[in-house]
Amino acid sequence: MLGAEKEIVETFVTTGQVKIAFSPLLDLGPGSINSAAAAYCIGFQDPAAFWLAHDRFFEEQSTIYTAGRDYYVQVASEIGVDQATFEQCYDNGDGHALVTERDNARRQLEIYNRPTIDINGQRIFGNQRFSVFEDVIRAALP
Amino acid sequence: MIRYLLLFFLIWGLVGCGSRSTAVDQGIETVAPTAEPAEVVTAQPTANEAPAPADTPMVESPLATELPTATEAVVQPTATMLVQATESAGIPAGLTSDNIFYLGNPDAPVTVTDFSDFL
Repeated sequence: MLGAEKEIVETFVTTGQVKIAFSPLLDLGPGSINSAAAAYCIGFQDPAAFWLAHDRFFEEQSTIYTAGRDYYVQVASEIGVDQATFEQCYDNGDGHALVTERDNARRQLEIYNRPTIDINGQRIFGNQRFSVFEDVIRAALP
Repeated sequence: MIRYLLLFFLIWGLVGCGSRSTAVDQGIETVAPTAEPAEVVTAQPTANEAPAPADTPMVESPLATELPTATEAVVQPTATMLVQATESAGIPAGLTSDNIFYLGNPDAPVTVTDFSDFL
């Protein structure tokens, strides 16, 4: 969703009409779990930094498939959060536990398509153009 | 004389059959001995190999073995992280009570939730 997401932010989030949220799906093995956990461990220190990690991981998808712990430590360091705190979170399982919890929650919501975009209860599946999201958002606005 | 010869062949034949039946019996019995070493051989490697795969992934994916089942995470309700909201380029960012990171006005009338995977 990264492409349309930027336009949603520019058009609706900056105006205060919309907030965007990210809930991880962990369908593709260790790469899914570790990248989501790393983003969460970065976000625990600074929620704004979570979104920097979020954008970077989407941009570096091919790297994430085979990325190990060192890659995530490097990203955390480059984003600017405390490296030791990040490593503690990543190694002790706090991030992994929360993203797994979120993954379980979406299964209870019967969300199985990747990605699924929920806009005030209306679900859109797959990567769509901004105009598709725009129509649904405008219809949901008071 | 002929009687002695017939008696000889009869005894010889009986001895021959007896030795063959013993051989057959021994062939059956050899199955059991091979089974015994098989148990020993299979028992030791499994005991030695079992910890190795479990340890190996721990290096690259430190928490992969800590989260083997979905139930484990459900049984351990994770406390909501106390994370202070910050701003990204002037836009508020935070973590909801459901542990979902958000970007934007926390009281915005519309929430766009992306259920996705970084991969």
